[in-house]
Amino acid sequence: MLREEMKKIWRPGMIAVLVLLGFVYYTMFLEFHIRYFPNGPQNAGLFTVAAELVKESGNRMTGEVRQRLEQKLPELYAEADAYVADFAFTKQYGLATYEAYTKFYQNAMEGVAESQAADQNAMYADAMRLNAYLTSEATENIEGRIRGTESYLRRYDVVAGEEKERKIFTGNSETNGIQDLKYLLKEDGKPSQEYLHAAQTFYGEDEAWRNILPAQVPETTSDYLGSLLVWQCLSIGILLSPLLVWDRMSRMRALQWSSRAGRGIFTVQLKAALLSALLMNLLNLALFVGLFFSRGMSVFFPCRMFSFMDTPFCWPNWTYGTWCLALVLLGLLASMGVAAAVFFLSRYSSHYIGMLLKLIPVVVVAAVFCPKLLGYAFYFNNPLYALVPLPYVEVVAAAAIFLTGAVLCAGAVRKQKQLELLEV
Amino acid sequence: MDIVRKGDFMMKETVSRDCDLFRWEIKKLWSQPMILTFLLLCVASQIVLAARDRYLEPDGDYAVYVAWIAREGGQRMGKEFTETVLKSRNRREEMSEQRQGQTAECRPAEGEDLYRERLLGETAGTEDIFEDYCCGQLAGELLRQFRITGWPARMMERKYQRQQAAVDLLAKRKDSLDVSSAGMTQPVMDALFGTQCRTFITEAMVLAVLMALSVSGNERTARTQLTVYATRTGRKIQYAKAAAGLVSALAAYGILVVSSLGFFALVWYPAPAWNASISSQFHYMSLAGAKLPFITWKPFTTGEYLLAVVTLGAVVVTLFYVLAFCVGLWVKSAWTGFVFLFLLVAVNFQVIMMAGDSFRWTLYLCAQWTPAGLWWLENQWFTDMLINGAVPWQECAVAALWTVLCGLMLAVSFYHMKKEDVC
Repeated sequence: MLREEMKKIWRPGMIAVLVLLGFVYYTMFLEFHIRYFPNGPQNAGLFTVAAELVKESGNRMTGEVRQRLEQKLPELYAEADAYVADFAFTKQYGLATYEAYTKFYQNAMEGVAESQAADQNAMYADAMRLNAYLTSEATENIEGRIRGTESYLRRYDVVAGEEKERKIFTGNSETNGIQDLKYLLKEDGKPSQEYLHAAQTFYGEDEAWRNILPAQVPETTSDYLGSLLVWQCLSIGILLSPLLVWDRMSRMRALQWSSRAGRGIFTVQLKAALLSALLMNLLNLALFVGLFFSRGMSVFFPCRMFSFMDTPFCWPNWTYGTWCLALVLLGLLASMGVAAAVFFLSRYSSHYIGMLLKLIPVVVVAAVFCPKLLGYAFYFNNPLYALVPLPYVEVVAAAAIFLTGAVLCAGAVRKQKQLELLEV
Repeated sequence: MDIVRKGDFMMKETVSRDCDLFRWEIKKLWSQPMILTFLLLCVASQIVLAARDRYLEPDGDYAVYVAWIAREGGQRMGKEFTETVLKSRNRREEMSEQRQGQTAECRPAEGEDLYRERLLGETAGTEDIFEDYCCGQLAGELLRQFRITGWPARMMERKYQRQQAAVDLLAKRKDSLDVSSAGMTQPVMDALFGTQCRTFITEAMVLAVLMALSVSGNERTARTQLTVYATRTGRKIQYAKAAAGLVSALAAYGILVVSSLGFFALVWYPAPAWNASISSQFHYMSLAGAKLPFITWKPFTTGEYLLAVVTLGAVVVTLFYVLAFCVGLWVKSAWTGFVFLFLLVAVNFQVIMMAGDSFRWTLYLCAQWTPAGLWWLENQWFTDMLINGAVPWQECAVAALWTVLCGLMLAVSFYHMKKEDVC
């Protein structure tokens, strides 16, 4: 019977519709995070440098690693010098080195801001062309790699150096405010729970800040999984909602209750729905998460969630791999709760229009809520945490959704036994 | 005479019967509790969105301050307006000096001093941005940046040549010098047109589709089509159903418009400035990081523009209703009909995205000429629509084209319904 109910859910037409919608959703909302990651030459440079660091030196930035990174700079400059000297018009401006290019670029930017004269515009255009060349695939984004290396050295020195006491705890323009502990102080200047946790966990004896993880990695991962969760909820809603409505419209209930299965058919249908939801989730995760990690982010799996590389503060300090797994589990929990809720709502719909009028608000709420649930989950700047400052509030929220769905379905199963046939 | 009287009597009976059918179909539709519940949820969401935009916006009070100043000094920026802003400070200081015991109303509010400085900074020395504005330059820039060539490029060049006349008129009227809400103009316009209008049009559209599928298929759902089609009215009942559903959809749209805009006007009172030009220099369109003036084909005030958007929104709702009704007459299941329409809209957007990404501008522009494309470009209606528009007043042209097409589709669907084998 379970198999028969599964066949009713997984009809070929429905599968075709979900495949087509899945393709459209992927190209509209998910592909951007994959195709344009890292986003821009600067971020690409930061990512490349960090990935090379992890491969060569592990996931912690010690003094030795810092030295090795610094020793790479002259090689990078020499490589850039060769590219600059080789470019079409550099001789015209007397540019032979990377240093000369950076001065030229700065002058061009300042010049065009002050005057729109033809020669300034021409110089600006040439500077842009040279910049585009140095950040292209032809030069393997040499500009991005140099800037990334310089940025990481600068940031490391700020955190590790003598000024640590002053800058990390009182403010630092280098960190753009994200890792400034002073912003975690209360209005009266006393330390908040976030301040105490961050100061102890990341700047304590363990020196957890030494971890290597570019900020864009957790940001993009959580954005992508948040958008994916919306699709999971939508696909489950479309898949499960017609089941009970179709039975009701076909007046199958009397037939089903008079069979050997009797009223237990509802429980079988519930199991089939939840199993189908789980299967749908696993298929979505296998496909879309697999696509996401094909961009090379898996190299950071052993790295920790917090890093001196401008990541926000977080409650746990799991590895990136564990954090991804936690996000996937959170998503599964929430989407199974939504599946149960959709099944419950379809039980009380006598026709498809009524079902759709219930399903659409559920999908809209999921579309608004899911990105907030998974966006920077377990970090201090998670949107849910901003509303309810409770550590691990994301787990509470996902569990609440799951329990709501479970309670609703349990109630419906129980009530099924007491219903009059005419009421169905 | 008897034959004429008998004919009159029969016509009156037919009309009376049709009116009854119309009334009963409306009653049948609105007796579904979920329709009302869904409508109430939509109204609630509009209220939440309006409140969110107003009270979570950090400078919401600044917009209200600008509106109070504009009431005294008028909308037009210039010497007079600046004097009004300065006088408002002097008057308050005078009042607080004159009265011995200063009350809270007399004391200049701390925030007001900051707002005053900000308003002076934003409005002093402003110039008419349309005086030397060249549409041809913008056209050239768009064609170059987006690599538009061929037929689409020629259409866009012609479009921007015609826009020059509209710009010259705006320059003559000096519409860009209207203060509107000064620096808060863009957030207020985004809240009004980008959030409120787009949301209530979308909600009404979805409700219209569901109502259409409901009315066109409820005889099939209730298994009464054999009985109903055997009556004197017969299959012509679908005409009454179509009319009843359309009136209900437009009524729902009206409820959403009134509740949304009413609450919006309440929370933003007295901003936004309904008499200010929609083409104020503080209102712009964004494209690839650049801010471009909001130029309409004819000058509109904010209030007039809102009315135009609401009217065209009603047309969009009607188009979607008719499309869904036609689909409902052809397919046997409301679920299939809804999924089919949803897929059509999804594929439409897919085509737009892929065409844009691959610089296939002919396909891109053609894909905008659909009801879904019309709905999506709601925040650019009555403007040049940047790279999304090929001709002036494109939104009106699309609406007119699809009104005709929907009329034809409806006629064909009714004809099909008359021949359909209900068994």
